[in-house]
Amino acid sequence: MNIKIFRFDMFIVSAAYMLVLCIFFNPAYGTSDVPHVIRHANEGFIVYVSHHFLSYLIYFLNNCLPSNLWYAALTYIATVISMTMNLSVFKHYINDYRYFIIFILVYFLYLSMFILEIQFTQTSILIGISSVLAFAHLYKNNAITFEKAALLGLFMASSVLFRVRGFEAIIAIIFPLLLIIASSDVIDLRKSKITRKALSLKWSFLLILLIPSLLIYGYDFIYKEYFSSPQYRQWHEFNKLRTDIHGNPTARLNVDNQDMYDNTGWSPDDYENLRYWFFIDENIYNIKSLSKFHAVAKRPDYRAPIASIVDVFKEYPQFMILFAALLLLNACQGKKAVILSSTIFLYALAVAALLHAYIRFPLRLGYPMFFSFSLILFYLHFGLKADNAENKNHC
Amino acid sequence: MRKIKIIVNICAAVMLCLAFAVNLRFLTVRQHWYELGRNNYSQYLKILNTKYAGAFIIGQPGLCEFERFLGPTHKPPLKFSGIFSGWSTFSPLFYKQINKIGAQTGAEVFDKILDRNDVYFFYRKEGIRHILNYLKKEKFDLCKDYYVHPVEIFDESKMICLYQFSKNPSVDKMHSKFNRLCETKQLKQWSKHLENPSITLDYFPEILKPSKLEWRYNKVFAATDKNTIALEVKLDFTIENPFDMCIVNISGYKDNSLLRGFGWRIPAQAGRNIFIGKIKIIDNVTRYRVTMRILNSARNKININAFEAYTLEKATTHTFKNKNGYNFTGLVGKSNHLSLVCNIERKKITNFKRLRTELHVQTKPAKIDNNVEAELLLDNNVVWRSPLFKLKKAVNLDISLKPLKIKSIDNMVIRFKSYKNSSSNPDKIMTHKNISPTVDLSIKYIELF
Repeated sequence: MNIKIFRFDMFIVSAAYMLVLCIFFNPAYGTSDVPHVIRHANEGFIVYVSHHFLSYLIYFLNNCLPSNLWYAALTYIATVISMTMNLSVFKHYINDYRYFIIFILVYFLYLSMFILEIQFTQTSILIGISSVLAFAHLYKNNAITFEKAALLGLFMASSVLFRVRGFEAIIAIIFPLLLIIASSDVIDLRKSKITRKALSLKWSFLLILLIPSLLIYGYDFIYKEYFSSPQYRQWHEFNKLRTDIHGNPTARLNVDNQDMYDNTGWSPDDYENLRYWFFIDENIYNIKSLSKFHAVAKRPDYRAPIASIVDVFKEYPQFMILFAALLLLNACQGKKAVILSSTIFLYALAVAALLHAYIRFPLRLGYPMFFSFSLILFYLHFGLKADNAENKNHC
Repeated sequence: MRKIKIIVNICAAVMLCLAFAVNLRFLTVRQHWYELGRNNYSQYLKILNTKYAGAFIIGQPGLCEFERFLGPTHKPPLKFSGIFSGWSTFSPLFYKQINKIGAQTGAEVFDKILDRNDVYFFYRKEGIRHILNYLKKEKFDLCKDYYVHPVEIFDESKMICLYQFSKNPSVDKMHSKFNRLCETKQLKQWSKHLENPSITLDYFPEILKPSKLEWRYNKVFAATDKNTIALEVKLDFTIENPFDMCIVNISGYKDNSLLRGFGWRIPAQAGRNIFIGKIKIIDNVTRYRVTMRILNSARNKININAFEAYTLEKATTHTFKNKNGYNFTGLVGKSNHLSLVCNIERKKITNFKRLRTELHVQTKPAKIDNNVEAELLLDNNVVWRSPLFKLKKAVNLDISLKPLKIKSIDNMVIRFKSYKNSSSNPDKIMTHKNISPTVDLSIKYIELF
């Protein structure tokens, strides 16, 4: 059987849908961070959120042909490739056109957010999850080759270009999927369905998928930490400390922390100015004072994630209902499907609650994360359904 | 088993439809929000590019990213330069931007811009307050003679303005001049629209079509009584579904100064909503402005049944005044202090709130030491004090009596302190012959509601 992860017909459908959205609606940038990244890139500066390769590429393109479209164009190209790969994978499992239309309607609606609101974090996660799903599809059907794994690896590495730390989110999202793949391989090995040599070959493909992303991620880290300009490095170090305050629960918890005021020498007004993004004076806000802040800052306690679960349910009702529907659908596929899908759902909730409680869980991270988990659950449903149908045929 | 499977599948299908609908609504609401933002920001940009081309604009983080709402298909031609801060503060680009105004570090920015008339702040009002907090603490000597005032108002309800620092705008006596945001230009515009003095707003049944995404109601009206102390706003409306936001703001003005602002964010339920907001005391207000803003991204049909503002209670003012004011005749000397006593008509009033009076002390030249401190006492409570020379021209006093809890007043005393020990001019003598204070007294009282 010919296993395809990039079908031309799906590419046409994806590109057409994207064009329709862009023509009939006005796409915008999802957060004000994106214009910041573009402004920096257009002036030839790098930023800590995106990879410096991407910044230089936009700078180069902008100098060749000045346009505001370059960033959006690169994002849309990546989005269309991701959509094509996703649809190609699901088309393989959904033979009934009625089911496929229902799936595509739900998929397109949820994906519209990625087209109408351009944002680097969600693009990065979409690229990552699409690559991994395509890889899992090939891997499951024993159609993975070195070239395909390398190509998928390179595409996945492009997710790091859009948002460097998006790779960390992708690893957190695909962890249960990788665990399922690895554990089913181990079971196959025990049942002697595959040999050790074949298993190590299969796992080497997994490494090939991850290595380009790891290299690009590592290179950016080393470049920005050691080889960038001193002015950039200072900003980078300052920002690492600052990002742990803005938008984090820590910021709110320390409003009345007298130890913090004593340690940093800030007045309550200084701290409020920082919380509300007015920190123009290096004499007040610098690496030293922010380090002193973090030394005595109050952090959320162990009860915070429990409260966060409620918030996550409130903030993402569309995904909670979708998960419930997918859990029900998976319940029809037998015990194995129920256990796997409910584990993935609980894992998704736990990750979301922990991020919400201790770091931050904005829409730009929460939406693509839950979208990815719902794709994994869809994949699990259709994959297991196909397996069950195949087993029945064998019987 | 097959039946259970069918039921489960039906449930899953229903939930899938529900999820679809919820996400559709989520995306629609966001699109409407972006649509509003796009309309607003294209207007802002148009004004900035035409009226402020070449200016240096310091933008509030999250507010000055015009590209966000305009999107990738529209390249905004920024005809002005500036600092666009936020997380790019202290970045190499930030330093490149501030170099244009001659500042090498972020701490130097305000040292360089205050004397320039081409530097503006594109900020919300609360954002400007953060800047003022910073300047008061860190750059007080530099900035103490400057005022902030909006030169261009983009959005009144959100108070998005183009602010500028400058010297010598009109000074508001009521507030510390540095904290005051003198909204002179805005008030000039409002004065043009000033309608007949009336406390009651229009009554209207008005139906807002679902396509109306944003609806605003603005009305400026003068207070009929300067002593108005309570205002009530009633908004009665019916909607099909809860909408995004409804905000009612009331601002009270005296002359050219905004004295106070009150705002309510109204929680709206589907069906009829009656909202009543009360402002307890706005003293000295001569003009009010009522603004109602509805953001209807859910595309509701909204029926405004009534929107009215009216005074709840009026303050009562008692005027105590003789033909030529009160003359202080009785001269009482006690140790170092000498007092002039004036008996006034006794009136029992339950709660004194304020004393408004004009005090004028005439003295014979060269007979009195001008540095003597004069105190005004109401039934042995010192309500006001000042050096004598300040009283030579009539002074308008407006004193809160609330902390003193005075029940009734029988006499009023002006006490002069330390005249005998005055080191500057010990020979000068004070007698009732060479001092003749006159007082026009009016006392306002209200019952608290």
